Amino acid sequence: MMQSFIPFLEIFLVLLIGGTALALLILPEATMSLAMAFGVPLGALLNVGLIFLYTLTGIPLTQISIFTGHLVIIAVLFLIMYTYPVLLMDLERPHHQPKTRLTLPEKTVVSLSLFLLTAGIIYSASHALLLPSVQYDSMTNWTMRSQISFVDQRIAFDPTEVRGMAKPQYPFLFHALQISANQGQSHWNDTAANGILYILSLASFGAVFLAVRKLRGFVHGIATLAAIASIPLLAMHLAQGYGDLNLLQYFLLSLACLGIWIHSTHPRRNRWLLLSSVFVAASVWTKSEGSVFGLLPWLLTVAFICGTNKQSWKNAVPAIIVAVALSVPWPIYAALKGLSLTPHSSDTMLQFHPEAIKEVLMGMFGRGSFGITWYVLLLVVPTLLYAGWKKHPNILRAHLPLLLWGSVMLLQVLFIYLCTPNVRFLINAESFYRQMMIPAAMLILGCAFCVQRLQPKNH
Amino acid sequence: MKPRNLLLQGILITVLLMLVPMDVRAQTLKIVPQRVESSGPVEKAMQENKGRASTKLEGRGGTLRLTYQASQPITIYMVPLNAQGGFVPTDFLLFTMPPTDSETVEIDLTVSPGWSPRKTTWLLHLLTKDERSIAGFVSIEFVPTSAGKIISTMMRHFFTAEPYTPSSYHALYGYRAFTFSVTIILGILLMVMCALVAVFTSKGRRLQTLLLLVLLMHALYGLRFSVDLVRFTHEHLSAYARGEYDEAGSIYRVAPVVRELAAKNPSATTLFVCRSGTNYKEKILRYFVYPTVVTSETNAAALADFALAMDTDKWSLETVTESNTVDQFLLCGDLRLKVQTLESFPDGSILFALLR
Repeated sequence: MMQSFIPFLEIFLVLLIGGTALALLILPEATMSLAMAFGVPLGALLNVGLIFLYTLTGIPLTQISIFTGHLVIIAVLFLIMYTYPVLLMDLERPHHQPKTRLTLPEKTVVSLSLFLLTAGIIYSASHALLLPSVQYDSMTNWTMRSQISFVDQRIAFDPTEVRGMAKPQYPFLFHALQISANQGQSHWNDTAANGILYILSLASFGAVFLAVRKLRGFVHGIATLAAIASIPLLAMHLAQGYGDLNLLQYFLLSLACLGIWIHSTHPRRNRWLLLSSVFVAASVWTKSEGSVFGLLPWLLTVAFICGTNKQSWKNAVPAIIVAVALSVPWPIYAALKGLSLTPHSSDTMLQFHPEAIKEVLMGMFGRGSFGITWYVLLLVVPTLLYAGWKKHPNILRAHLPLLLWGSVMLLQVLFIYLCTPNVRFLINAESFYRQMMIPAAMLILGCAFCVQRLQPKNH
Repeated sequence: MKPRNLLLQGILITVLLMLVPMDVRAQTLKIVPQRVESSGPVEKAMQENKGRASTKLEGRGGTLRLTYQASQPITIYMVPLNAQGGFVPTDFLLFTMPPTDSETVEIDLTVSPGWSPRKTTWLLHLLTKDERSIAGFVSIEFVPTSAGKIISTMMRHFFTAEPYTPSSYHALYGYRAFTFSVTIILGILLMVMCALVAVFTSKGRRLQTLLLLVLLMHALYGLRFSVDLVRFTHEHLSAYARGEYDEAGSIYRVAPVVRELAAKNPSATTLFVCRSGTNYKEKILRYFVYPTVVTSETNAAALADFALAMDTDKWSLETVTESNTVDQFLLCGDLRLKVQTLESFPDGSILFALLR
């Protein structure tokens, strides 16, 4: 047990240190806890970058090569920090607000949120850490591909399922993380593979909570986190196994950074936008949908914010360049390798399927995957937009464009499942539901940023 | 006789008269059926039982009173049908009625999550081991349900766990009460409540109240689902501790044994799987014993080093005794493989070494 845990801990620390160092250089101002929470997803991005470099150069993926690579990255980041201390973020002290008493509704919200989160953690921790992988797709597209790559010491792109892996066209942030987490293990360790992804989830959702708390306070932060994590299907995905959750995490992180960017008055506030662009690029490396549901709506949202909120385009251009520059290597590489850029070859055959509308409505409003989330969003999103239009004092109009990303993604998912052969994955209750939980979570976070913090009573 | 005594006598006679039907009812056999959570066992039972018949019954009530005769025990699977004639696989009920010349049984239909107080059509599959068995219904009656029972059934339906398997959590069916979707009921309730808030609260508090309301309703559904999350956790951890886990059965026990065998004998590289149904368990095993090759291709069986017999309806074991030797043969479809038993597992799977 200990023999397995120590190498796992080593690789985790290496990822955390590298990612946190990068966060310290990118963030303009934050608490150390927020920088560390951002550090894990950033470490995962550094890791996939390193493994992509090794894939291009043919360097085998071994304990020595991966550790050395990360140590070099850490050394470079520390050197930059030492040479250009001006780049380092301003350390924000945790808020020492005057003692406040929560109102009864706030107490209720906090209690319910803590209860929901506890149940989610019990389920997800036990399934990710105590129980073995069980999901069908893990045995092919995800963890199986990681294991084959681990044994091969290079990323596997098997064109057939003879060795058990499918979908070689998937980008490999997920796989790279599992491969690194297994370095130093005597043989493939399923718990280490799921464990590192679970840590990534905890850190990502923790960062989203801290980001909302930073702007709107604790009650708002915990309620937002619970509202997202208690979408029934999402709660189940926290047990790991599919890449959709990781994709969602990067979208949420990117949206959270956009939210802080809009709010921030710091002289280097544009770095929040830069960080948002880095996270959206990470989503492209996580799943093919990262480009379609991530990069494109992100560009649209940033363009909209720049166009309507008097944000300078000049400030946004570097971030846009970073997002595109960090994203494109994967599709270019996949295209050069002759890999399809969509999971299914027939995805581009367009035809409207009206017979599927009933199924969409039942899926969103009639069954259990989303509980009553879509009813809530159907009520809240138009209400916030209307209240914003009416200049309601509790609505932060500058943040309303954040709802655009989730709304565009919702339309994209509906289009894909109503107008392409993917309709079969709606009818047989497969990927439609996994993808629909992403705009739901994005809209919840968007709404959380749009509502003014509820003022607690002074003691 | 004094009026008071007359009254007492009348009450006594009434009570005694009421006891008569109660006494008759006490002799009827009350059956609380078992819920069947998927159509798999139903299909399997239909294959295994030679004597089978299907029929439909229509009626309104929480109890089905059947008077029947049967020369053998009758196993019955029954499920409520929806308006389109379809059914939800997790709504099946299973019970067995003993052989009798004439017996009345009362079956509690409310156990099925698909039961409702409305008039319902039920599909019944009647199974007996033997085709020659004689069985028949003398009378069939749906007994009306009390208001209290209806309310308690509604609560029970609401707290029935989501039909869910961790191996493929693509979608969740959702909770139902009397076949109505709880999601839709709560969703409509939420909309009505929001409309009331919009009409009856002051402008200054309207938005805040509305947001709090939707948050609480969202949390309410979450609370219900949390019960299932904790329940699933308990069920899965317990099953895994017993050596089985969800649809994977005992694969997690098989895998380390195969890995150990492969480590001891590096030239042994292939495991043949004798199975029926989907390739799910085969894929799990392939993942957990990689790089050992796991295949169910029959043409690979001759070259395999081990065999795992998984689904009992697919394989059998033949023992041949010649002079002083006893040979075992695994019969899997058309294949006949000489084997040596290595280990048996809790779900009935057996691991063999293939002998040549």
